[in-house]
Amino acid sequence: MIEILQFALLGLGAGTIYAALGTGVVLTYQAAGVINISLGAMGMYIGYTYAFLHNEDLLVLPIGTIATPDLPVWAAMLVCLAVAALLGLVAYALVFRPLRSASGLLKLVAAVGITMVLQSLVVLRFPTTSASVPPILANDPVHFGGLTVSWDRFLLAAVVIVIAALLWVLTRFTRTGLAMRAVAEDERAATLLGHSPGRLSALAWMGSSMLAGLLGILAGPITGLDPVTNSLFIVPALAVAIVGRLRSFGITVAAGIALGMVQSVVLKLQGDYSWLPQTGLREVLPFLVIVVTLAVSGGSLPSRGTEEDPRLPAVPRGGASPITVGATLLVGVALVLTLDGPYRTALTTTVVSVLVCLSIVVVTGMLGQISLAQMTFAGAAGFVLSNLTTRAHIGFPFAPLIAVALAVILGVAVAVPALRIRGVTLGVVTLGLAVAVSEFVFKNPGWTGGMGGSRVPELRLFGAGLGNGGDIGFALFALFAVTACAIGVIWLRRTRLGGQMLMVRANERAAAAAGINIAGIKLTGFGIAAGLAGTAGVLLGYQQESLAFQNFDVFVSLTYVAVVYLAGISRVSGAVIAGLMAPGGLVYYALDRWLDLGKYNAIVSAIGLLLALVTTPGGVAGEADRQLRWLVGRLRRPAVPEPSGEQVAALGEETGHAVSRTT
Amino acid sequence: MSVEKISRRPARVVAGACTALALTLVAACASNGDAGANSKSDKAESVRQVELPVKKAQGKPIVVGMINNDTNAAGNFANMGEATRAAVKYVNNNLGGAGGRPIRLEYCNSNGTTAASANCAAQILEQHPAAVIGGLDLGSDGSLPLLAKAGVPYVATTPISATELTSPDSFSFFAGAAGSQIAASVYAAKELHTKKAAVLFNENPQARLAAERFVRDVLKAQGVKKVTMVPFGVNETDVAGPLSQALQGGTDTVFGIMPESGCVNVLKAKQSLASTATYVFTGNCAAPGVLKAGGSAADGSYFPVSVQPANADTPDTKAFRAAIAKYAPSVDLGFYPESAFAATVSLSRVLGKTDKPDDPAAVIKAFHALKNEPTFVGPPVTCDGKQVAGLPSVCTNQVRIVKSENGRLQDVAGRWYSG
Repeated sequence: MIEILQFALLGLGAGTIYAALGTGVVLTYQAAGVINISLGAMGMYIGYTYAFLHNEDLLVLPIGTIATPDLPVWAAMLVCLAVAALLGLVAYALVFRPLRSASGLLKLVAAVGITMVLQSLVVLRFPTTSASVPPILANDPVHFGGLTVSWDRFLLAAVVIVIAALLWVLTRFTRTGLAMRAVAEDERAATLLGHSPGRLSALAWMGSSMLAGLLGILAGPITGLDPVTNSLFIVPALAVAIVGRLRSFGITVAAGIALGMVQSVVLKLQGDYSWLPQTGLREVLPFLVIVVTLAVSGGSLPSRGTEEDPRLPAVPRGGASPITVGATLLVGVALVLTLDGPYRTALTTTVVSVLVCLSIVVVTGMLGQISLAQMTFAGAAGFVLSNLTTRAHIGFPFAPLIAVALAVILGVAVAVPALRIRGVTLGVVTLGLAVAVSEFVFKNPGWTGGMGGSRVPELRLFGAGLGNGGDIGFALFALFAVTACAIGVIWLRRTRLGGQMLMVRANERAAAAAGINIAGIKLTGFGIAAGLAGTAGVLLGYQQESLAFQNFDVFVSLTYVAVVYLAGISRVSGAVIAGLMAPGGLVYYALDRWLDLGKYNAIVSAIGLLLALVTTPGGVAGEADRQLRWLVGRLRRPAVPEPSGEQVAALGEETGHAVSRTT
Repeated sequence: MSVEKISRRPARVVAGACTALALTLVAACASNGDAGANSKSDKAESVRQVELPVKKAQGKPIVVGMINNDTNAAGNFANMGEATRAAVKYVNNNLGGAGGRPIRLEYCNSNGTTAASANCAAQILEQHPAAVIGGLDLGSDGSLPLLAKAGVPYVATTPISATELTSPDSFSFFAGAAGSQIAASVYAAKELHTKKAAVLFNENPQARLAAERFVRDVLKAQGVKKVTMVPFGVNETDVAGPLSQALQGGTDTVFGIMPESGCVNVLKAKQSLASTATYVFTGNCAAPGVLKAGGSAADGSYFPVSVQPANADTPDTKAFRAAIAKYAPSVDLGFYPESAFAATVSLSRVLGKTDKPDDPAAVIKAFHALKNEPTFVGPPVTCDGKQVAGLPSVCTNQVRIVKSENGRLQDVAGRWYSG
């Protein structure tokens, strides 16, 4: 028992970090209505800034580096916190203020873009990512029996508790804080009372960025600095913020510290009891916390009375015509046959990516459910395919069919929490699921291949090998498979089931009132989407002839969601455009090669994504369709003579002008 | 409660008090820091460079490709590309080329995804390379199948993926993580007299298998009875917990299998726990950036490294330093760029052994014919697929065992050490 308590104390450091980031999530959600998943990346960026300022006397800014004198600790901290505030303000002003009326998913995607920008900035601007934040808090060892805990973990916990208390005071007893609560309750009413939601949002962004930056500086000696892993600290932070119902700082802090302690105790138990799963058990805990919390709370979280229109981009009527589908297929075949080398490889990547994007179009564009775990379904099918073909020696078509069927079952299982959870909250649940499955399953060598990795033998059709991603045979096979799936999705749109899915997306209550079985529709929609993603996973396995857990990690899912939203999340054509734009896809590769961006590729892509989200929130496909319809309308308009002077006199001058303008 | 009814004065006093308390807490509890860890960067030692011979290659260039992640999610590895370019210039200008002919490098920067790596492979294959050098490529699962299908040999400088380690026609002049860990485990058992060990590793399939097969099983075969396995997630927030678990029961030696940032975290945790155990990390953690970030906590740590330390006093290392100073002065002398440089020079020697260096099949045959062949700053290699069990691409199981003292690496074994 004593050892259990000792290990619980060891978890204080991790728990405090979850608590601090969770507090930032609550602050931003309350004041700005955004679930800010870029806080971990913000803390990481400021940690690097402080490390180089203190260690090298260099203030490394996103643009430019300033050599500074040897600053005392407090001055260096102030400078870095000022940088954090500025970054938060810039993120709000340039990205989230223009997106104030956008859907929750779009804001989530924009936060992903901010994360990507910060990660790529670190890699570009700091000479080495093996940097170390010098300790500020005293870190003398404290002995508890046979165990040692560093004193700085206790100090950090005290700092975070004080900050949470400060925020509680702010939101209870100050005008600004009360205004934030008022905006959270009813933005329209708060605006009428003279409060400025924009100013409050800006303050919240600056405040949460400074909080994340302070955490990056004080906790950096504990967590270390890494562009990728630090960004993932946001997942357990989201879990504890949800326990706090995105409202209570106190509960969030308590939940964060408790989660860290429980994870540490589980580590101890894993060492003592070998029958416990040794892989990924602690990483599953945040996901379980989210699911249990939402189950207990009835799946509802405090919603904000905002002015935002939560609607996703509109679904076009009718969908693509057979001529369009046929023409697209012909173009695809022509490209496969004419392109070679890296362009054909990129085209094959595009084709497989289209299928992943189609799954997102179905689950989010048609059904209106936010799922950030589509690559998880792809990975499940891919690794099952690898095991069936290499261990059980089951060939085509049975192995891929079984793999896809399992992905469908998994998708239906994931849909169960979606029956009670909606909106961005569901997105957070699926994000937790993606991390949990990646850690617990995809990284388990017992399930995903030994030292040789997860191999997938060459796809053979009627005894003939089709090759891999660079070969015409496989490229054509993938193209026809994806086209069949796209036709299926277009046909689904026109069926009764498709119509019911759209009704659920539009208004669940109204759909239920109309007699639609909401649960059945959601389960079916998730299953179909998972099947499409599973098919993509199978094709990816055949394309690469091997699979690794990195192919399906959470950032890959987030990138696909971002690209599909950008391209047009409510359209099949959006999935096609997204496939072209996806990393490694045809347009992406061509631009990379022609522009020769080199090491700037990542940041240019990230900034480009944010710019596109802000300027075309309806998606590229939607904008293109709108422009095309305008053009067709202009071309089809018949010529009408100008009204004569007598007609203008008879109609009245204004009417005459109106007639002239519209003809 | 309406805003008007709030008495603002007590609220501001409370808020101000909390702020003052927070700042006081931080100021009062601030430590002086570890000067060793946080010292300003030292000026680089000036090293007397040897004079490089002048011997220019002539004739039709032999095309060699390279796929590297200049930047990926894990960091900036452009220095590997720079070191390879420097090596090509060194080979062409100072060594007389590969069999007398110059090398032309076709470089492709991939962003670490399998799709981008596959595109790079296809792009390089258009140039009909004799071989392709793999830098640090997180997406090599995408490129290797294409290269294998085209029959082009792949020379891995830092083999990390399963595909690089087991793909047919993939060759590594270096022991890599697997061979290094075997050698380090044997060294710890025999020379450091390890009695109780713990293996701390990042939870991913390759690291877990390496920890189990190449550390735990080897230690047990050497008579170390107690070996504790302690995995931690790649996004572990506080490594002190797993390290405490590893140190339980009187562990005297901790083996670490993790990327560089993980090594820094473990070193910091070691310091915060005042651990006196001996630490043996993987060779990638002997990088200058890691040693600097780890500060005094890195002192006394052992690393099995695949090449001679750059500061060694051998003809090859002197030539390496001189070539980098001449052709890529901004590149640091870490193990990543040194491995890339060495792989390129050693490849040029293999190309020189065949009378058809443009033919990938002939190059593959030349690789398979290597037996105890000396390499540049590396160990002798034999590419028979049997040097490390289960990893046919690895052509050697020998490493140098180095120890960090005052920020510098000392070769403690004095010879190539193998398991």
